[in-house]
Amino acid sequence: MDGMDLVLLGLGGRSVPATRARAVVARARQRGCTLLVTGGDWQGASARLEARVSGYEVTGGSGGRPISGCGRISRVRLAMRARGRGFGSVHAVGG
Amino acid sequence: MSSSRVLAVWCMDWPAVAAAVGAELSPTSPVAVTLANRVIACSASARAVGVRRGLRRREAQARCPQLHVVTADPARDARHFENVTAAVDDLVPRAEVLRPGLLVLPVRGAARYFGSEQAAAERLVDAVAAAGAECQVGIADRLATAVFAARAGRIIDPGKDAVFLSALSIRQLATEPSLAAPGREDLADLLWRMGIRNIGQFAALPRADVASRFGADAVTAHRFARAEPGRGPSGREPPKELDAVMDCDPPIDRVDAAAFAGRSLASDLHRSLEAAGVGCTRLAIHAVTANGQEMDRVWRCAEPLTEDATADRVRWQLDGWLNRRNPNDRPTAPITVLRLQPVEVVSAEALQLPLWGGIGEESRLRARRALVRVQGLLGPEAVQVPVLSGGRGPAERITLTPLGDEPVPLADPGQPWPGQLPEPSPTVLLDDPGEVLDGEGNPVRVSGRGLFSADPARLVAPGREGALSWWAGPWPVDERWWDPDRKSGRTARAQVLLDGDSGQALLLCYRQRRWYLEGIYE
Repeated sequence: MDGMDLVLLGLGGRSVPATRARAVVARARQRGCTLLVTGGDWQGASARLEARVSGYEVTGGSGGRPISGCGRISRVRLAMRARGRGFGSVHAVGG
Repeated sequence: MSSSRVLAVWCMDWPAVAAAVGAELSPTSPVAVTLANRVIACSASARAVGVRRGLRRREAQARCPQLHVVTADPARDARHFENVTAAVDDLVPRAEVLRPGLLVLPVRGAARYFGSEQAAAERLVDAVAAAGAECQVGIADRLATAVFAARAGRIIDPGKDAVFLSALSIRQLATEPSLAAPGREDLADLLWRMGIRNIGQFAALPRADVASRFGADAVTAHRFARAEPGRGPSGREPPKELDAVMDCDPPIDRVDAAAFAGRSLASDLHRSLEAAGVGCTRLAIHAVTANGQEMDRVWRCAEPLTEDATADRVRWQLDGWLNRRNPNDRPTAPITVLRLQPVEVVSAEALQLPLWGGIGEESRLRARRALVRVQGLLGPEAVQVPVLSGGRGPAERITLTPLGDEPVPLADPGQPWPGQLPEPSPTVLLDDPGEVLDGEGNPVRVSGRGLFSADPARLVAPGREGALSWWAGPWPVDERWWDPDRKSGRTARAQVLLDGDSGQALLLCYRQRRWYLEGIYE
């Protein structure tokens, strides 16, 4: 974490006890580092992001309906939701 | 043009001169050097009484009864020429020896230092004379021309190389063995018989005609005749002895001892590298065990190695050798000799820290130091840097290289990769076997024509199962058909959309007659 601006941590479904998490967060704050945790539960995170695939766009369809055997996936639509201590809840949809 | 002028120093009849020096004869006594019973060189006094190159030994002795005859010995020639080389080196450094008796050097620096090319040539003749040899000096724009100018004892004006050469006989093409390929004698003879009597006539022939009739060596000769640029004298300093060697007493059989040895060896190496003003980018680590077993490995780095980095690499390497996973591969005895050899060095400019760092330079260095520390704790393979690589499948697009190694992709991403998957790429990469079924529950295959055997309708894979709401493909991938391991069956990719609420988009890959779930778009 020393010297890095962004650290991505994959928990793989494990949960981190609150005492352990606090120590790591304190270190990150001191070093000016952003800690991004995926795939697990982190106690006391300052913001939580959720993203869900809401649909796919396929090229080469007719009338908005994709035809099997034609086209390819051109876009992935995501519905994102951020909840944090400072700003409440925000929604966004993007492709 | 004057920047690349070349000076040649030619000691005439060098084998004869060296033989006279070797036999402690006076330089004026007649001497002949023979090879295979033929005279190949003789001194000026022997030539004066009729001894010629190519004579038989008996005949030469008949013409000059007091002739001292010795057999040719290239080692003797080279040994005595070393004095001349040293004398020239004292005056003008970095001379290149073409053969014993002939050396070339770039004249530009010497001409500026001594005032003119003429003055430099005079000083060189004096220096060689002081070393006990006679010589002639020639200066020209090209190396080969300079050699012939030295034979004539002339300084050729800039740009007049071809004019000087054009008057020489065509037989001269083959007289200098260090500049001519073995078959040059025949070429000169052939040209003579065709009526081409001097080099100027040869130079006037079109290049294409020369190349198509006489072969590659004739083209080289033609370039020389036209005084076209060839290789200049390479005034490079010989590489210094930079290796660091350590005799380990007691022999090393544990990793902690290896770490200490590595540290002191690294500091030795860096002292010699600093003295030579270079940094090392490729380091060979060589170890010999008590049983005489030898191991070596080359480490390559993108940036010049620091002392700590060298010590780390020695420790990792010894750790790797001493603790091989398979006990049979481990060295049978402890290590007694360790040698570090810088295989590739760069000039020390690359090692200088910038006086004013670029933007973000400081934080970049900080991040690098942190990663190197992690590497020190967990081993060199623990920190991997992704590099964009060339390939058709999503997994082939990424090459992971350990931090510190040169980030070289496995395949060049700049090449065209027909059949490459277009954007977007799947975000999750897998390699799970699965099954694609048609409407009647029969497995779907990809035919030799690159088509599905039937329309796919269902996907059965661990964790993901369901009907397909959409599919596209197959897109055949025509690669590695020459590789015997990958030959069986064809490869194709397809995209499918699972039916249902959560309807995931998946990338499937068909290879060796099976379907694999390759990626998920999410």
